[in-house]
Amino acid sequence: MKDKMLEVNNLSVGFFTPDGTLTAVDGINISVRKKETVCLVGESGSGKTVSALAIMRLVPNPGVVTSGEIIFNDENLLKISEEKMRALRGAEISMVFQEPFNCLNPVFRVSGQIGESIEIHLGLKGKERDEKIIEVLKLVGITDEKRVFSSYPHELSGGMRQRVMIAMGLVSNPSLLIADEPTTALDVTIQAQILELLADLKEKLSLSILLITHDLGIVNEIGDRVYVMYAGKIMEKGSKNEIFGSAKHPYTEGLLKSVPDLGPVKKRLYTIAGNIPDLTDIPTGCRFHPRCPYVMDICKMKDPVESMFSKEHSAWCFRYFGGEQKNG
Amino acid sequence: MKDQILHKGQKVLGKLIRNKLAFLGAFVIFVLSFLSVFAPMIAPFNPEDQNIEERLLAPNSKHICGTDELGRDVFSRMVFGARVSLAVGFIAVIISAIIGILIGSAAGYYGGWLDTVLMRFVDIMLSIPTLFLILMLTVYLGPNIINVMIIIGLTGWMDLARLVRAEFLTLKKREYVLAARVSGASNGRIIFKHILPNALSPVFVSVIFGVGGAILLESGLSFLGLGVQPPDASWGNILTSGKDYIERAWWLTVYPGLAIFITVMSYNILGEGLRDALDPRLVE
Repeated sequence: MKDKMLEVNNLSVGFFTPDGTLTAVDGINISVRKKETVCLVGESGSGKTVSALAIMRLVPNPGVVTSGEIIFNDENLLKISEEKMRALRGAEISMVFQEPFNCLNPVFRVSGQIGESIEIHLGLKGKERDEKIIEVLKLVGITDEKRVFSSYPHELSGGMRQRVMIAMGLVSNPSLLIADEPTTALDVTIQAQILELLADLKEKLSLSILLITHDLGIVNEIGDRVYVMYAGKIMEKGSKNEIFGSAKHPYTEGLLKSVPDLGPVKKRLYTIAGNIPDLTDIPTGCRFHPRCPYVMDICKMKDPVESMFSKEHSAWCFRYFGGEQKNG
Repeated sequence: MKDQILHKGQKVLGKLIRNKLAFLGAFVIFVLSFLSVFAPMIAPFNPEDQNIEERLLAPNSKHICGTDELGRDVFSRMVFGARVSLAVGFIAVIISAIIGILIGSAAGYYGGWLDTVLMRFVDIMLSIPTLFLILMLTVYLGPNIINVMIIIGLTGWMDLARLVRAEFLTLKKREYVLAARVSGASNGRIIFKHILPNALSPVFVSVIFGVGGAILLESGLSFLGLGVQPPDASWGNILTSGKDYIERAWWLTVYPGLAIFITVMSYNILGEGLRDALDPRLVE
């Protein structure tokens, strides 16, 4: 497809630890189109962040991308040189992290943090650089940009810091923004503001966003398409409406049921039984089978194949194998 | 948090000034620096002018620290000696700081085989008794003040390298380093612009201690005749020539000895005060 911006094909990332090899990401396929917000959803430890870092080619040691390709604007990012990759980072693909405090260097003023990317990618200096910083601070909705410009990170609130982080990511006009749980560390009202900002920036800058989150509320708010990830594999993918309206995979169902309702308490909050598996000891067959309420014998033996429900909507589950739904 | 304290310079300075001992140390160092910068104006006599008539005079109103066996004014010689001591201290420490920071940051940041090679090199350097290494090098390169600076610098960087490596090992895992890499910063940029400033406070303390150590080493070398060569004055070689007259002319050994003692002590208490001021866990 022509309007594809990022295509991740069969990506696997392994961590070679002394206790054995751990496959954090196991053959995932993800695509992001132009001006689209794609959400990657899953519990902690499901490999979301590692996938994002793999796209940036920054998988931490001892992790290694063991297979697959990452096509960004017709170029396989896994094949290009480190210099070329460095020129892409921050310029074409930016990333925003979860902890806005830890991601800002405590010895730099905000101007220095944002200026860094400008110096590297745009080569602006002096007054031009400062003007650009002020401009991008305004863009991310900071109203007292003069004060923030010369503040140190510890002088700013969490929401402000996250705005600064986003400003850092956007200053050299990237086409893809990877946001790794950008609102997890913020309280709910600030969270809403940041999401609104992201949605707004996406329109203004024709940005594509790959949003990593465990919060389905966020997905519902700004997602276009959703990938549900579990223990390093994609379980289900589809448009937001398909996922929220007619989730097929038992894991997605479980996630949707585990979202707390506001209002009078009627019943206990649903939880998916059990924990995410140890990645050095992944269950055979479908990885979700030990926790699945509909588990069948075949689930314990074979990897599920893709069942397509529409052009966008697929699930990897044996319940739909052969086109019909089987229960238990 | 340790790294936040760095830019709170005023707070650190405040703490330092309130620490009376450290302030005294800083004051003494300031006075000494002043003396050595303006030595030609401050010294009442030319340090090399001999006067046979006035040899081995006890301290008096004309020669406040007395004169030596050639009739030279001891006070003037010591003022010029301060120049040598401070210059050697600073330049030697700058040399070892540069080497230590480069090796430590490379080892800590890159890790792997480079870390192993560099740190084993540090171990080897540390296993050789420094004094013998210095003596050997001075004999080989020839004793003069420039060589003394270089040699002291070349043999004193190991502790700093270990310190910087340890700082880098923890700092390189910080999220802001990943954030810098994500915005396309190169390794060099990350090392020098993003990590090093956060590691500077312990480095700074260690460097201040290092100046005291280097001054002591230089005095020792000059005392042994391997440092600054006569007729140039240095606290160490004033002591050497004075040791033969120790029973008749105590001022030839006591004054330069005191000068060395006070200077090194000042650097040490300043270093300690600085360490306490930079340590956020120590709250008055």
